Amino acid sequence: MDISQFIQRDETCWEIKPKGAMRVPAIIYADAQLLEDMDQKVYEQITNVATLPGIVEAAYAMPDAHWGYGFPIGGVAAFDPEQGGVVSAGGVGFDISCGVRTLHTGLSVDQLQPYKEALADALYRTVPAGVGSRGKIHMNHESMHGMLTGGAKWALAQGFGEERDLERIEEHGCMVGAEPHYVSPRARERQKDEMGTLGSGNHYLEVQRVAEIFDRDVAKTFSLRVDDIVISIHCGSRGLGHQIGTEFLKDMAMAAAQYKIALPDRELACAPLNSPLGKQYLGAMRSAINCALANRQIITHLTRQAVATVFPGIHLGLLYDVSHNTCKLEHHMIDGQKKRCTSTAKAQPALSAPVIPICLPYSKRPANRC
Amino acid sequence: MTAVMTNPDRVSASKAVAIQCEAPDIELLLVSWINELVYEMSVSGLVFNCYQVVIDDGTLSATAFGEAVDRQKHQIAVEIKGATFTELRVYQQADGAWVAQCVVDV
Repeated sequence: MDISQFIQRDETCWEIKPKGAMRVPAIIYADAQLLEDMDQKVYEQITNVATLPGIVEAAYAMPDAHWGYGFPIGGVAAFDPEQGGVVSAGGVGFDISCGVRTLHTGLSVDQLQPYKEALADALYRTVPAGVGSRGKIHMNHESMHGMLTGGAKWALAQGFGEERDLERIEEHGCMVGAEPHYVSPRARERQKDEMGTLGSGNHYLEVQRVAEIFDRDVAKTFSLRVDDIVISIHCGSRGLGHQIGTEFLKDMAMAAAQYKIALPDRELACAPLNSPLGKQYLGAMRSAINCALANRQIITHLTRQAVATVFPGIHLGLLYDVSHNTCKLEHHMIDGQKKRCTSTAKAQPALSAPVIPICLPYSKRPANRC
Repeated sequence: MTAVMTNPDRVSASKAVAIQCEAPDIELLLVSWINELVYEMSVSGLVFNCYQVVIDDGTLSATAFGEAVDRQKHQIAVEIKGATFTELRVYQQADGAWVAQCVVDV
């Protein structure tokens, strides 16, 4: 990317002044080298986001931003519902509340080494992964409703996991404001046999080694040391979220003219937060967030079962669970005033600190990306 | 689209599924059509390899032919989440051939 297109605010902050239909500036956080290496599409997409109605302050892109669908991956924007602010199904993406959670095994590399193959086999047998895989949980109407409103709390009540897990999960495991009646029969149908499954693509369950400590205080808070073994789970709301994204993307694209929204890119299809369509999407999307939180909770339980077959008596503590394809209602101080707005984040946690975990100081809460 | 997931030559056409969808313009109709296939693949556990399609006044009626996913036989690489609007274009070339394209999210 040609960095002469930007005004450099400081060493890692670059601004594109509003031009054309842009309502606010676009800001990219990166050093000069990262910015130069960035895809030109990031420039195009982040300036497109800056044209959306009701956007607050600026459209932001993080240091690893790259070409996404509508929003760049690593893009974040806040919208004020009182100023015609919008919610974009394309901005949130298909895999609603895709996220990462990480478990501490308490093992070191040396302790794991002789059992690597056995552990891989146990995980493969226990955690359904890949296309066409089905879980052992079959959802009916009642359990689906409980899952869509309760998230990880619902999963816990079904016997998946430990009470203390909730302290380390965004929103304490349950997204409020879910309205499952806006989740279509098709989305439910896609999900009824997919609870507790990883999916495919870039989703994974990885056994990982702590290779390097960048922040000693944070590492100490998480009781992490070099060569510790952790297990990370990356997945989202599976078929239910994909179907909700698919349906609302089309509905919003078709309704744009009705709401007098000029879309610079159809992928940014959106609706005003205060409109019936916007509210329906938020209710369905929050249900999908709960689906993702429940799914990762069940996978955590299965992971614990698998690891215990190789290391009997082991305890896998949850370090954190944070989503990165979401839209969240948040309060921010803007021009000296506390304002209520929603932040949409693609492959990036929402603007404010994710609401986790109560036992960690604000500055030590994790971020994550996919 | 099947080629994103597996080698289409490995898929036989032993099952037929009727599909119908509509949209206000030809590009949204392409997205709707692909998403119908994604839905059928997801809930019925099928993979398709050939199609008979008729488009009439914004309505697409089709029969998709394929078979049940066999993990050993098909070695499916990725699951398609949905059709995006990225690089979405449907147009007729100078030689009369139609091009219909979009990026699918995997």
